[in-house]
Amino acid sequence: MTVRRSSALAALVVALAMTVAACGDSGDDTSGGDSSGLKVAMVLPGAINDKGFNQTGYEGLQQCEDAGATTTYKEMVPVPEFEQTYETFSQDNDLVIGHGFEFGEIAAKVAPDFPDVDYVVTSNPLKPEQDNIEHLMPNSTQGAYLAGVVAGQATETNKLGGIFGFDFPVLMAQAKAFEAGAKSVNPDITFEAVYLGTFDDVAKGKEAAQSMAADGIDVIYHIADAAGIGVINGATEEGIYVIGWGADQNEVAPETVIASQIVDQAKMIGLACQAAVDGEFEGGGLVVDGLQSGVIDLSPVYNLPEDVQAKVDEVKQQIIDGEVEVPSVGGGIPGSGEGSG
Amino acid sequence: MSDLLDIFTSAALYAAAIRLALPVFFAALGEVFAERSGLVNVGLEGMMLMAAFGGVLGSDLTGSPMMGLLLGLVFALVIAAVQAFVAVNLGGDQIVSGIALNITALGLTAYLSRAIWEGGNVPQVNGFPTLDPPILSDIPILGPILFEQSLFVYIAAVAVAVSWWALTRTAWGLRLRACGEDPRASDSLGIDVIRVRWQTMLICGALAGLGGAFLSLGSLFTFSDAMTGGRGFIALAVVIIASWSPVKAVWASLLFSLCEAFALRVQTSDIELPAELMLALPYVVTLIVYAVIVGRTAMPAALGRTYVRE
Repeated sequence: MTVRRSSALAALVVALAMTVAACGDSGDDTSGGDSSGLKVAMVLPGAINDKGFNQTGYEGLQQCEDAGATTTYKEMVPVPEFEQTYETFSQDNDLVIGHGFEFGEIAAKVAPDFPDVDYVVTSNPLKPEQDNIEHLMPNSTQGAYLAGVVAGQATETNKLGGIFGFDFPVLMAQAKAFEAGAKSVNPDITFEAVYLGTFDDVAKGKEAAQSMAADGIDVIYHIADAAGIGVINGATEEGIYVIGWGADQNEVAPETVIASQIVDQAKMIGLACQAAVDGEFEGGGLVVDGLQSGVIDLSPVYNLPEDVQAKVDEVKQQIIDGEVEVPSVGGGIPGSGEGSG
Repeated sequence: MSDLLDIFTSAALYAAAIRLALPVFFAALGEVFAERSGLVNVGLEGMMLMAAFGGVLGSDLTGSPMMGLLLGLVFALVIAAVQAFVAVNLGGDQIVSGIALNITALGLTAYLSRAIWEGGNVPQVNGFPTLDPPILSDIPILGPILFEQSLFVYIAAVAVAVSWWALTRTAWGLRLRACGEDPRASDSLGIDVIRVRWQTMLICGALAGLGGAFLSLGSLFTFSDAMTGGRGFIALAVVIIASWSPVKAVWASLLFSLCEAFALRVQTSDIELPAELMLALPYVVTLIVYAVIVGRTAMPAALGRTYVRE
């Protein structure tokens, strides 16, 4: 009898835990200003407060709300729950946004079952096959190239490092562009990349930065979301520089973060939402936006001589004018432009 | 190959291994106490996470890292108390309640960090910076590796000595181990099994809490979701490899963290190996060591079995 009662209790504890966990993982902000009735849901792979990729996605969702939509989201969604989350959201939303290229495959799978629902996948350089899916691709290599221009001038040891969550093609393309940008101003530099295998493990990010410092690397470029906070932390301890990613991360550590690659996914998402609210959502397309529209940019340069900023401005204009060729994300990715995912 | 030599002869590698081992070691040491008394506590991760969160909250509220550490330990002890109540008093399934508490801690800390700090933007707080003790840190090679470390390294050194002594050289330790081998016989000899297991679970919570608090207050000075990164689960493996010994737990956690530190360094070296392989290295090595020593370890006979008094 004791045993039976206790297993019932254990089940209750689990149920309670699930409820609490669910509370932490999803939000339901149904407080849209002048509600147009459009319901938008977003699926995010990481935490909305990671000061990086996921945070910009969440800010994009808030712009959807400003555009008059009612919004809901689920954060920190693990891969095995992609499909279930998509199906649940598809049942009572007009627009489902998957924040990150990894949602491309699942959107393509679910979209045919919900022809009345529109789908947006961010950071995906491929052209979608179904006409109720739109892919948004910030031309992030342009910003990475500019980040490289700063790093190439800031380094004294001529050793640059890059710390990345995973070896995603989108990230590797930016690593390449960063290296190219650095070499354009300083041909003597070397560049080493480290992949953490996580975007969440802050301690590992810090350790990676300290390991690079011990190796003589004095400027680190990171695309590691929450783990990137650890990178900045480790670099500060070692007295080396970091180039941030996502938003301007200078406020995290003003002496350490000399510039940040701005990737304003929020703006892209907001624009897509506005189109949907206005009934002008155009599926089946790939939207690429870059320096021209301000979706991609470089933050002001901090703590460095003024000519570094001048050089950045010059190269930026050259990229916009097409005088400097930056390899695009789509280029060099196997199978780009065909298939899904 | 000279590159490989460079990595292994650099003091920074070993200093990094100690830093990375610390949270795993604290949790493993706590688990040694719990398991020696017959309790399996898979809720280590949750305890660490709660302590990491409580540490930042306390330090943010009071400005004092010491108050932060205390609040972090209290948070971890709350989880430990729930685990002890379910596992010891109610005789519930220890694995199930441990998993439930991990999920609870993950959700609760994520929720609270958004409720307390606007938009979940957890601030940088005062913590325990790396020490630079005079004389000691000037010792060549060993100084930077052993002594230019966090306060928590010194706490760990004391903790391992005290734990070894308490478990193997005191009557209390003997009674504790008896509960893990045969709770019924222990009970018939007048040992209060429930009391002993409550004690070990609370010790486990406090030690795992120290591990979590090191991450937030001794290393990163902030909190972020799931920042323990699965270290509580690694600690469970470390305990088995360490054959439930506090001293061996030091070596087992260092073995794991040395692989982790090596994996980060090899990626920036001239050695061309796939990053994925390097990331898997700590886990692969742990598995291999386990496969080699399995069967030769001294698992407490009554481990994980509920004891209901008749």
